[in-house]
Amino acid sequence: MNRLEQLLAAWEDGTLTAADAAELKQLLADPAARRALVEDWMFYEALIGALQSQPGEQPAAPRAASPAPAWHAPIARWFAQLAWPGWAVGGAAAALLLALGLVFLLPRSEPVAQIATLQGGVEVLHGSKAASPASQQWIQSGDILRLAAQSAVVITWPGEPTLVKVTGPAELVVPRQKGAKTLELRGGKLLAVVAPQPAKKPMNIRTPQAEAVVKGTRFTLAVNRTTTRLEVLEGAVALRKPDTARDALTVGAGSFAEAGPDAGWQTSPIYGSATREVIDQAPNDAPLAATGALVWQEYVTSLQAQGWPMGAARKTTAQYLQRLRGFLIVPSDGEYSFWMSSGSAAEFRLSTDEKPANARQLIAITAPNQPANAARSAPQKLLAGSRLYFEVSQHFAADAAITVGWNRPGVPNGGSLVEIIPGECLQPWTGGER
Amino acid sequence: MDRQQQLTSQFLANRHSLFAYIYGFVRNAHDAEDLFQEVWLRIAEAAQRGAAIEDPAKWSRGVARNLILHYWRDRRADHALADEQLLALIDTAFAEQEGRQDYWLARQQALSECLQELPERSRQLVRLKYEQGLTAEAVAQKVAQTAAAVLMALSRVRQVLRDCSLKKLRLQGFKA
Repeated sequence: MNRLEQLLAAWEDGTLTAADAAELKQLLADPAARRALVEDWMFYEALIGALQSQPGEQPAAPRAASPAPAWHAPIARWFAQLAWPGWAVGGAAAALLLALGLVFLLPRSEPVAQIATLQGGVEVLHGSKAASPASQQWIQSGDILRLAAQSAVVITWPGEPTLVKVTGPAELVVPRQKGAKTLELRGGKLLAVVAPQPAKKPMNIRTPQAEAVVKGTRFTLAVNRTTTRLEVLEGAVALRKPDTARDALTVGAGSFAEAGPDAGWQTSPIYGSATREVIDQAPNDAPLAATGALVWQEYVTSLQAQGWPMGAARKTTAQYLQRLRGFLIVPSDGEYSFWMSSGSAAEFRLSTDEKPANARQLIAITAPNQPANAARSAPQKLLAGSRLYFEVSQHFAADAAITVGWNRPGVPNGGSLVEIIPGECLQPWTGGER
Repeated sequence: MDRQQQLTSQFLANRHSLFAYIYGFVRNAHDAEDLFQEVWLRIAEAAQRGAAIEDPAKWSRGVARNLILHYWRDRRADHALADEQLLALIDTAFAEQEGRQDYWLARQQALSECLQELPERSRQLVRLKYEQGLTAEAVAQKVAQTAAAVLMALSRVRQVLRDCSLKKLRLQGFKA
């Protein structure tokens, strides 16, 4: 072992003296010695990385996984043993904890939120290492979540019913939280259900093109290389551009706004989706009774749905109603026949105008059927441009699928187009009359 | 590509070197991860503020160096290494070796294979010291040896791993 290697080994073993350090400094004047030092240090980096990637090895649990600093507990226990008056113990404990806190002033990455559920290819980059996360794992400030196509993750915050669902391909960065919840969506799509936040600490979600400031609501954000699109389901969200903080838009329920070089800076009604809801039911409710609390709400881009929505809380003994509703925008004059297939009891209702009160049942299914044997409505004469409230209700047994389509006129040679009602003819329900 | 995304990409591309830089000073994997995370947070915040960062790798090492000095100070570590000239030389050393990420990644893969070839006892020593971050004294207690014996054993195992990984890299065509 040459002298440089001896010194580097002493450094690793923690036995390097001041004289050794001075000698090392002299040796490092030589570029070859500097290269050897980097090789030596990169060896340790590679070794640690290799250890963490060993198959079947249990990695050491991340130290900061718990939100409570580990050094609080023994200090608190020690004070509890002292025979002092309660106020003196509390005061002394607080003083000592404050002093220790000052010693540890070095800012640290801290736990921010938890992964509730995940599916598909999700990776968390923490420090220099990437790993597949587990359910209930804490996400810390500085972490980057990367989601592959067709993957999703639901993130929750302790003590409140706020959740964020990110669908891939996506990249979500968790910056340092300065009192308020803050996320950065670098690409992909996000659905947020945000409980009311403290007045001076709204939730902030930043994208490359804009920043959404949220006090408590439901909305989606979709980000690509050039554009951020915000759609609000409920409540209102302030959207602002990073370079002109004063020029903020307030986007209300049923509206969207886009930020980007080619986007107009304005709000517009949402097109292209219907509202999907899951409603809790009392045990003896009729299958299609909408009596209980709203458990989940999201947008769907055509009139079909299958499977329990990821992120929605579920009680195994409860029964649920699934509802798709919104407004049908009639594309052309003519006669329309609607059809529906469902894995459980369901009905389709269509209003003569925008009012839910005027909706009439057009199709009812009491037993499961397949698309090939879909139940059909009588032909309905509709006018182009009409905006008609509709509602599809389904007894959500065993996560049954549901599909609603139509025979649409206006096809050349007098034929009709048989299709699932597409998003371009839909607008979501935005609240109001239940 | 957006400036922030570009900075993120550059930072991530350089993360192995930066981690090695930090670990080299603090010699504890968990603490090194914490400090690395803090550097990342600071670079992200600087990018958010619109700070012009011409050389992200150099900037990151500068931030890391300050954090390391705080780290030593907080632990009252009377460090012979807290010498400005020595720190500057090490910074130069890393600057001179930028752009070899593919080599470092290949080395990690080679080391992973070499670890599998170690006897279980040697692998245990390496895990205790470098994965769990125990001191030599703590490792010695666990394996019922003296700290000096543990240090000597680890030195031998490191040499075995170095030789093994360099041999594999040469076979892949890398010039070590």
